[in-house]
Amino acid sequence: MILPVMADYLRTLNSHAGPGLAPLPLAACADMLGLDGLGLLLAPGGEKAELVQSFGERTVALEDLQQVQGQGPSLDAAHHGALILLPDVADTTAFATDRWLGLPGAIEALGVRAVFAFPLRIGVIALGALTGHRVRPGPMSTDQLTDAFRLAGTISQIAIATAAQAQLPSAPLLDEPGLHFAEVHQATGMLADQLDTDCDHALIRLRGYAFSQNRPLLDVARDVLARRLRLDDNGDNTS
Amino acid sequence: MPELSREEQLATAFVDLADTLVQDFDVIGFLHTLADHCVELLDVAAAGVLLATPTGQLVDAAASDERTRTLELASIEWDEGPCRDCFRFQKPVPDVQLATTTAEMRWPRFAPRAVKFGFTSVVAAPLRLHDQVIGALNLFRDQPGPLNAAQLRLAQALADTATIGVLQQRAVSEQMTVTAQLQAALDSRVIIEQAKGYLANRRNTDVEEAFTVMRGYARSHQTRLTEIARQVLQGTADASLLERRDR
Repeated sequence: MILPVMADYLRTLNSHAGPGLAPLPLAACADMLGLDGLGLLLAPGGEKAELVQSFGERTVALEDLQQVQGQGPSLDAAHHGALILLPDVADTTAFATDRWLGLPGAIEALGVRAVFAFPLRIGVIALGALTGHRVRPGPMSTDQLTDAFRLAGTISQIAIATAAQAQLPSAPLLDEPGLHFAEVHQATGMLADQLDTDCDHALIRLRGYAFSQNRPLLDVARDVLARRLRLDDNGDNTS
Repeated sequence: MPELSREEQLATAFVDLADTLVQDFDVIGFLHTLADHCVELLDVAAAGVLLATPTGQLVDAAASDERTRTLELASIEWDEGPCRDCFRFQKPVPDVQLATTTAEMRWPRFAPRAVKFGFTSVVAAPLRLHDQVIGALNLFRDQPGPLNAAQLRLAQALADTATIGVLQQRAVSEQMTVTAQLQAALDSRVIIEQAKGYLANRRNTDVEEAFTVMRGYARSHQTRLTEIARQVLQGTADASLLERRDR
């Protein structure tokens, strides 16, 4: 179930050449979600989250402010996987006042009244955040939240796929819906221990192997779990 | 521990399932408790719980054993079976005898697989509050005959209590809607899966046993299952959990 707003983008994705993520249709996404601005932050391999794409005249300033203060909704979402919904930053009874001392007032001074930060993650794999804002206070509707989660889910998949493609340049960006399945995540954990690495690299490895062998991700995951397949550090080995 | 009477067991189950207004409530751990209580209290061999994502995709949330888990996963993959029907039509699926032509026509792949796993019949109850259905509970029998009506009502009552529990949980966010709560639960489920695989390799077991160990540890230390899973993956879990065992 792909959001209509993302359909064209996903169709063109596999022909995208060049490093990084092809520009997302952030303006259309913001429109769909009823937001005045939307920013995409990526934190590859647990590094510091950085704004890589943005829409809206206040988005860059909002993210700069958080970078300067070293705190804020986007960073909490990107690094800790927290979902942050602040329908009114001027509400001093809200938890934002204690959580990020001095930040809510500074956000308000930018003309931003509501901030919503959605983590991009796959289990413990923290990929970044999608942060939207409004110049007027008010919560997002249930439908808008649902769409935002879907969008965050899709972007998470694209982000992990982009990482896989960096290691395996011919890999397609989106190829399978396998990430819905528990076994893929179990195999990710199993590989992380076998390769003595983290889940980020394990999942990229799993996906890269499936692609290079032209097999469904889920099948490969099942082989890993059944110990029929071991991927070692250097090459792809079957034991 | 002395044997509890049935009334005491029942009371314990409902208290367990209502006791969700605590800090650090863990939906997935809680749904496993629901599945366990169903097997203890009802005349069923196994129980499975599926949750729906906000976009309507069913995911396996909890199961009383890995056999049932496998069956639930297959059900999602094939897009057929009692939980999927229960969720799609937003109403209970009454007793279906699995080794029948009717069952096989309804679920051509699910029914034979369930029979192969030793199950004889299945019912499904929606996890529902008012008009919102957030998932479904599957109950499998391995004995002849259907689940009786009184037990079926009890099953629905347990499901209802659990649904309220899931929807009432406290959360850090200000505007924590049901949508957001469910999303958080689904995300935490992925962490648990990753930790199961990690621990299975570490301890040289299958994922089911890895999960049993992790749950047992979480329970005896009164810690959220998701938190233990996170610690496992970060390597900060207790050494007794992470001890490497070789073949």
